[in-house]
Amino acid sequence: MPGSTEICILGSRELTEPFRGVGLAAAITDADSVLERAVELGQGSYKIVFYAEEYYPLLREFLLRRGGGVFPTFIPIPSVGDGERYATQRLRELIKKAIGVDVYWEAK
Amino acid sequence: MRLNVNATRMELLKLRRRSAIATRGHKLLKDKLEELMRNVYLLVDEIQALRKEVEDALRKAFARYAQAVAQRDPRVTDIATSLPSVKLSIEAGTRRILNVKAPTFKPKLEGRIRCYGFLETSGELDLSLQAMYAVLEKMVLLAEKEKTLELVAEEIERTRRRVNALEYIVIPNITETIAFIKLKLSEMERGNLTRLMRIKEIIRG
Repeated sequence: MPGSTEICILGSRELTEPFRGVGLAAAITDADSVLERAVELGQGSYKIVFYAEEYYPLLREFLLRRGGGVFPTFIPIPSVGDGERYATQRLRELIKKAIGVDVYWEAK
Repeated sequence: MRLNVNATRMELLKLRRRSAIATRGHKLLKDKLEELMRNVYLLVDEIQALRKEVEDALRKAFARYAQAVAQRDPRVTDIATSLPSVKLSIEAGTRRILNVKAPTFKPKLEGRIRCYGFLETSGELDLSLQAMYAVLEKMVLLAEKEKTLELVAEEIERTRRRVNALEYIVIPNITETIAFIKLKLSEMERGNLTRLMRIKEIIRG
C-alpha cells in the first residue's frame, strides 16, 4: 500500500482514489471483506483509519469491541454519493451514552 | 442491606472511617462526572462545526473527482493519483483529560500534490486534489476530537456506575450498619447498667 504509513482510507475504489492522490494509504474493500480489512488495519501501525460511513453497520461490533484503544483511531467519513448518515448517527449514540440526552442538534 | 460485621466499638470506628472515605470519594467522583460532562458539551460544539465543514468539503471534492474521471480516461486519473509526491505524516501523542488518555495528532504535509502531466489529465482533477489537500488537516483534527469524545463517553459511563454504586449501595449500607452497631452497643450498655444495679442491690441486701 503506497502512501502515508500513519493514515489510511478504508473504502471503495471511488472513495480511496482521490485520497491516494494526496498521499494517504488506501485500503480498497467492499462490504464482504471490510471487517477483515478493518481487523488487519487495527493491528497495523496506522494512527488514523478513515472508513466510508456506509460500512459503519458492518464495523459497529468490531469498533465496540476495540473499546478504549487509542491507536488506530477509526473515524467515519462520508461515502461517495448520497446514503445513510451513519457518522452522525454514531456521534448521537456516543453523546446519548455520555450524557443521557441527544444534544447533537440542539447544541447550536 | 446491613453489612455482616460484629457489633463492636472497633468495627464502629472502622465503619465510620469507611463512611468518611466513601462520602469523600462520592463527592470527588461527582465532581469528575460534572467536569467530564462539561467537556462533552465543549467537544460536541467543536465536532458539530468541524464535521459539517469536513463533510461539505469532501462532498465537493468527490464531485470534482467524479467529473475528472468522467472527462478523461479513468486509467489516466488512476495512474495520476497512484504515486503522489505529497508526504503526509502525523505526530501522534496522548494527553490526559481527567484520567482519560486521549489522542493528539499534529499533521505535517510535505511536497506538491501535482506530480502528473497536465496534458492528459483534467483540470477538475487538480481542483479536486487541491480541495482534498486543504481538508486533510481538518480531518485529522476531527479524528482527534471524535476519538476524545468516544473515550470521554466511556469514562462518563464508568464514573456514573461508580457514583451510583457509592450513592445507592455502599454509603447506605455503611450508614445502616453504623446505626445498628450504635443501637446494639447502647443496648449492651443498658444491660450492663441494669446488671450492676442488680448486683449492688444483692450486695446491700
